[in-house]
Formats: sequence, structure tokens, C-alpha cells
Amino acid sequence: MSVTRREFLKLTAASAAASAIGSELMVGSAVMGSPAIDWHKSVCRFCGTGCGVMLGTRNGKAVAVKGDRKSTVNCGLLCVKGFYLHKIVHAKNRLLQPLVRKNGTLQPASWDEAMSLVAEKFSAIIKEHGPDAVAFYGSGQGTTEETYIANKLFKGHLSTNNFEGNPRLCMASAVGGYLTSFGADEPVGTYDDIEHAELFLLIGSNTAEAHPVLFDRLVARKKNHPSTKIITIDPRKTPTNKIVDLHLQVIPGYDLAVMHAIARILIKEGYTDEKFISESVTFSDGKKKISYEDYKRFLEKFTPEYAAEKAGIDPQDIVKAARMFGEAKTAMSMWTMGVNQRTRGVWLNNLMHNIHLLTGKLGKPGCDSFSLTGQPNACGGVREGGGLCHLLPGHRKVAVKQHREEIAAIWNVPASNIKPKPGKHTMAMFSAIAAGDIKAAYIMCTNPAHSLPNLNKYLQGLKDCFLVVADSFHPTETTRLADVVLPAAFWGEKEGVYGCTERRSQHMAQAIQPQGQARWDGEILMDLARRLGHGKNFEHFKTPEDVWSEYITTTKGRDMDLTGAPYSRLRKVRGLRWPVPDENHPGTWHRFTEEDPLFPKEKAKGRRMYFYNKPDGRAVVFARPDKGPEEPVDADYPLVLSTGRVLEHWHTMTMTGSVKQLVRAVPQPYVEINPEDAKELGFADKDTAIVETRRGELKLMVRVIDRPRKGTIFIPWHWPEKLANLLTTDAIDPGSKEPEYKICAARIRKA
Amino acid sequence: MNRKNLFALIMFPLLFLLLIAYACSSTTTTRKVANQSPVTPAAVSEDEKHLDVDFTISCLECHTEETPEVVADWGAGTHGKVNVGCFVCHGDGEDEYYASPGTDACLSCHDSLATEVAEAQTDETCFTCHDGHKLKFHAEQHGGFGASHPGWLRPDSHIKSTHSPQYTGD
Ligand code: SF4
Repeated sequence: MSVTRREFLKLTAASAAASAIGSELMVGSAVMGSPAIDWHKSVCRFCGTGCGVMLGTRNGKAVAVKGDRKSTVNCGLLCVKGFYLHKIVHAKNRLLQPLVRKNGTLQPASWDEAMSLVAEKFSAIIKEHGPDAVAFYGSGQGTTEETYIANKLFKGHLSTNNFEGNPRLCMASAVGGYLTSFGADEPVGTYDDIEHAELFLLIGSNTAEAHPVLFDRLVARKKNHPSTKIITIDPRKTPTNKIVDLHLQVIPGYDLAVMHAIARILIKEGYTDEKFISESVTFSDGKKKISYEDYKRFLEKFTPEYAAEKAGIDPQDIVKAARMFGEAKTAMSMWTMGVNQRTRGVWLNNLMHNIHLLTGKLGKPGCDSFSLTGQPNACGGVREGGGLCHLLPGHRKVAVKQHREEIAAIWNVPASNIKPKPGKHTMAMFSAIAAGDIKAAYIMCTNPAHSLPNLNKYLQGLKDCFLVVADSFHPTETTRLADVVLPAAFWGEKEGVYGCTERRSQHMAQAIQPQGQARWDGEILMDLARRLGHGKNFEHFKTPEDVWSEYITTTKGRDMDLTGAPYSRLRKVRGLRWPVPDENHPGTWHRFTEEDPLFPKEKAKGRRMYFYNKPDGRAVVFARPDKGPEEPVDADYPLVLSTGRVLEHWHTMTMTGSVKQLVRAVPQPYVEINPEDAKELGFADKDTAIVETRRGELKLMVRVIDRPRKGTIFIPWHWPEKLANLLTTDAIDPGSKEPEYKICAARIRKA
Repeated sequence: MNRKNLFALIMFPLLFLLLIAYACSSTTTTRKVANQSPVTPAAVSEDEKHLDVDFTISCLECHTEETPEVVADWGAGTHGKVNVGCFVCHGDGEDEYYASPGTDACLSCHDSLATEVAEAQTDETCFTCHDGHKLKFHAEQHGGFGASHPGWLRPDSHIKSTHSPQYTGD
């Protein structure tokens, strides 16, 4: 029988639709039901959602993954990335032995040879140029224990605060927003608010692709409660739009005015919670305190018409959005990189908190201004663990004397070891590497030669410095430039804790032995500590549990108290949401309310919320100027370029690129162009184009699609052979130091 | 009887056999287990090979043109809404391909259903009741352990996820 392709495909489809099949499928064959498989409780290695997964092993190999149905995060569901994790454990690009650069090429070496070289170089450089000539660059994907060991070694023993991590490139603006608005980092509520919210405001978040299981929860919420409304503010139509009721498709970079306009309507039309404002809110213009009346006057300029003109949308849609938000009894805002990766990221974060503070839609079921994290342990390891140049573990700062003393005591070092001056933030660090001021860098579990913005400026410096990269995969853009590459044990081959978006710390079991010569990152770092003469203070770390036990002592009495979450408890439960001050405490849903164990009842005097990290207990509503992007379009570069992700790939693709099914889903890089722009510029689907910015150019396949707003183009940044970051700008937010990946000016021509 | 029905009559027994075959070979990992399982894979039909097409474009892109009805069915169901792509059940098309997939992929997310089936000692599987693309029930075939999967933690049971449940593990 000969069939055309079309008929064949139809036939295939019909079969699935028509199958009435026997029970053998479910019972006799499934890996899932096989008693020969051992299941280990773990957490997904990918995004910040933090889905619980069960890793199935057999004869020392990872053979299957299923969603952990006991996890309240995902109730057993997985997105397609988590689904293939077991394949990634045994992927072909796993690095299984140390590599050392000899005569220009990376060659296999013994652990001892590699580590002696690293220790020798680091000692020599520190001796000659001082401790600030070395740097550490970590990751929101390392475990909390790994970041803690590295922090202790670099800040406490080597005495340099040149200690950063990639969350600087993704979450720093959210941190800045939470600190300035509420006085303390990380969200007030948790995912549990999703099942109580009547309205969701998604801004700068393609939730369907970036946080798929949370999107599943939104879909389920809407299905079960059809009156649930979803608004999105985003320059691009995305798969998230499938469930959206109102889309404000703004020009990238001009949404600050829109948020102010919404706040103005909320006040003018009486949607505010005046009691809450008078009890728990104060106002500021960013420099000084202002009055509520001053704030209202500030807002006068932000009429729907003004904001709509700036953002290129219909003023009526702004009014509609504001009324929907105001009328809903409960509302939850969620955002990710579209808000954070901006030169005014902190300000926009503030404006999101503003509308919740004005309406009192905060700190009660279904109400929250909730920043979604991109990486699985950005919150846990880096934000809470103090893995940035100005922080110390337990939400502490290097600049505060008492904080240095507290940590030095736990680390068993003189307080003078910890320098009071913050080190170089990520972009400054890589600039210093490019300038030759930082001469050696240790990079753990991340791929900056792919992920930094404006790459052309930084690659040569990475080549020239003494670069040590510990990674589970090779080659990556960064390992290619390294002098020493150390094979790190991967997920499933080590034990540790990840802390996800909702303040939840979850334990991951070690399910199999590290493959080849791979070693746990903590072990590698402690080997380095020993070789540098600092072994003594790490000797008691025999297992990750020992590290965690010391780490949680740094959190005692802090706003992120994890005292009640030792391994013995974490091994059993599906994570705990801090503050969890003792082992009988169930964890906290809404911070700064009576549910919060740290809530100071006497000080609060009957107020519903008391922001105890602010001196007056009040959160701040900010009157921030509506500044536009750093590099607006002009006659030479008339298009806005945004970069982002697709569901099936993750970050620099070192993991998802090895899974055939995921590659099939999105096989090639491309640039999305709006059909109207394509027509004007003469592009057809699948043409080849050259996208150019002031920093570089890239040849890409054209995808003509009604997704980006007219006048904007979009490139997913995963593919190493087409580095979108050759084009992006490294302009940073002055507060958070996070680069404006999301907006730069570009032009496009036929190749 | 119209042509379509006739076609279905011929296809069903064939598909049944095929599905039994997939039962033992539906993923790489299944094969490993299947080596020790008494079930012998049935002969693999030619139909099991995906047509040799341009594999540099995505499943969805091609199928949106070639089988728009199927893509629409999938798109209207929850799997389409939450982007559980073709490849999850059907394989990547090149290295592995399952014209009529087994239930292993289902169970990765809907694991508790397996327990339920085992307990109910029923002959039914996911596809007894669910259309693979629309996921809707075939109402007339409905029976067995019931529509609501009482033991199955469905996404909407998040509603019941009262705060900070003290799970004690398996
Ligand atoms: S949603 Fe995120 S955490 Fe959950 S399975 Fe997908 S990638 Fe993993």
C-alpha cells in the first residue's frame, strides 16, 4: 500500500485516537510499574519551579524519571524537560575525566595533576597580586552545600569578595525589588496562593514555556474556576496566551508607565485598601519619604492615554486591566526575566509591589506579588546562601560588621578575614578579567562564555586568564576556553538541597555513583582548600549533610530561619518553606503576617501585616520615574531585539541538547519576525537573515510568525553555534547590576 | 458501511498487535526491562517507521500542515495547552518512533493512576477511556474504575494542598 506523507500521518494519528487496548500495556510492560526499579526522591534539575521528581535506577544506572505525586509543587506532573532527566545523566557529552590544557589543547590528566596545577596557580597569583586577583563564579544550579563551601573558602579563607553567581544575571533585580519594597528578599506568599487567586497578572513572563508546571496549575485553576481571569503584559504573544483574557502587548521597555497608570486608576476608582495603606505602607520617591498625597500628585501624569502612547497600546486596555485587578477579590502577579533583565529592573519590581500594597492584595490567600525564579537553586544557594559579592550566608551583608563577625565565628576564622567591601559584581568581574586585573577564575556549574551579554567584549579575557571550570559537561563554550576542566558529579550522583521560588528547600538523594572520575563539587572545592593550606576548617565536612548542618546554623534567628529543616527531616518531607524555626514548625505560607513565626505581635499592635525588616514595619510604595530602555531604537537600528527561551531547551543547552526528542521539538535556532515587518522588509519564512546590533551580527533562519510585536524581533538564546549574546547589550541596572538582556536596538537584512 | 468504518475494522486488530509490541519497546528504558520480561516483542511492522522526512523542522511545524485535525485536537486538550509535545509519546521520529504509544509516558506524570489500575484489577488502560490527543473520555466505553480517578492526584487537587503538609514519604 503506498501512502502519501499526508495520508500516512493521518493514519498514525487515527491509531492513537482509536486505540482500545489490553492491560498488558499498563501492567506487564511499563518501566514505571517494574519492581526492579529503585525510586529516589529528588527535585528537578531545571527550572526554579522546583518540581518533585522520583529518579528510577537499576543496576547503578538512571533509567526513568516520574513526577513525585506527593510533592505539592507538581502533584506528579512534569514538563518535557524534567521528563528526560534520566537520559541526561548518561548523556554522551558528560565529562568523565579531568582535562588540562597542554600545548594549546585540552588533554586528559589525573585529578592530582589537575588539582596541583590549580592550587599552584591560585597560590602564586594571590601571593603576587593579592587575593582580589582571583575570583569565583558560581551558579543557581549548584547545591546550597556547594555554594556554601565555595563561599567559606573564598570569602572566609582566601579573603576575596570577588564571589558571584549567575543569579546576578537573572534574579538580582527581583532581590532589589523585594529588599527596597518589603525590606526582605523573596516572596511574601507561596504557590499555594495560586489555588485561591481570582486574577493573575503575568508580566514579562512566558509562564507556559519558562515555568510549565506552574502554568499547568494556572490552566487547572481556570478549568476548575472558569471565572478566573488572566492578564498578561508582554511585547510578545507566547504560548501563555492560550489562557489569557487580556493581553497588553507593550513596546519593550515602556511598561513602567503602564504600571503607574494602573496604580492611578486603582486609587482614582476607589479600589485601594486605605486601612492597609494607613497601617502598613509608606511612600518614597527613591531618595526620601513622601506623603500619600505627593504620590497621588506624582501619578497624575500617568493617564491611561499617556501610558498607552508610550507603550503603544490601547488606553482602554489599561483601564480594563486596572479594573479587573481592582475588582478581583484576590490577585496574584507573577513575573520573570522580562521584568528583571532590564536597566530599570528594580524599579519595575517596585511598581509590581506597589499595586499589591495599594490594594492590600498581599499576605493573604490568593494575593501576592510573586517573582518566579529561573534556576532551581538561585533562591536557595545564592540568594539565601549569600553567593554574591556583597552577601554572606543567611541574608547577611559583607558591609555589616556584626554580620561578618557572626559568620567568621561559624567559619572559625578571624573576622578580619572577611573583607567589608563588596567584591566585583558579575559584569565588573568579567570586565576585570578582560582587563587582566583578575588573573585566575574558578567557574562552577555554569557557562558564562555563552550566557554573558555582549560576549565579544569578554571572550578574549576568559581565554587569557587562568580559567578553571568545574562542569558535568564538555565541551561547552566556557570549557573550550579553560586551562583546567574538572569533571563534576551530576544531578542524581550527589546529595544536596535545592531551594525553589517559593522559599521551599528540598532534599535530593544520591541515587547512583558519579560516573567515570567525576567528583562532587564540594569535594573538589575542599581538595583545593587543603592544597591552599586551609583544609582544617573543612575537615569536619564528611558528607553534604555535615555542610547543610553547619549552613543552617547561619540561618538561626534570621528571616530565612531553616533551623527546623535538618536532613533528617528534609529526607522525609517534600521540602519545607522557611521560616521554619524548629523541627515541629510546619513552615510558613504568608510572611509578615500572624502566620509568620517571626511576626512581632507587640510591635504590630493589631496591624494585619508588619514588615519587620523595615525600621517602621511598613512596606514602601515607590514613585519611580518611567525611564525607558538604555538603547532605544533609532533610524540606524529600528527594531527592538529581545532574547528568551523555548520550553524544550534550557539555558545554554548543555543538558537538553543531548536529548533527541527535545532537539526534535525545536531543532534549529531562528529569529522571529512579525508578519507585517516581514512583508515590509521582504522576508519570507525560512529565509536567511543577518541580525545586527552595535555589538555584533548573527546569521539566522527567519521565522515569520505573529508572536513578536511589530517592530520587535526575538531570538531564543540556547544554541552555542548561534550565540544570541553576541548581540545583546551589557548595560546594567544601576541598583541590581543586572544586564538588560531583554532590550537592545537591532536591524536585520537578507543574508 | 462507509469506507472509514471499514478501514477502522481492518486497522483495529492490527493496531492491537502493534500496541502489544510497543508495550515491550516503548522507551529505551522499557527495552532494558523487557529483556527480562516474558513478553516477546511482536514483529515490527513497516508502519512503525516514521516517513523519512526533513527532520530539521519540528514535529509540530510539519504536522500543523500535514495533520491539522490532529494538531487541533491535541491543541484543544490539556496536553496541547500545556505543551506536552508530540515527541513525548511518539518519540523523536528518527531514533525512536511509536505510531501508537504505550502508557509509560502517561505514567511519568500520572503515576498514581497505575496503582489505581493495579488495585482495581481491571483490564483497562489510559486509552480505554481517553482519546490520545483530545484526552476526552470515549463516553460509551466508560466504565471500570470510574471517571473521577478518586485516588489520582490530578492537577486540580492542588486546591486540597493545604499549606505545609507534613508528608512523611513513602
Ligand atoms: S516545570 Fe521546571 S521544575 Fe518542573 S519539570 Fe519542568 S523544568 Fe523541571
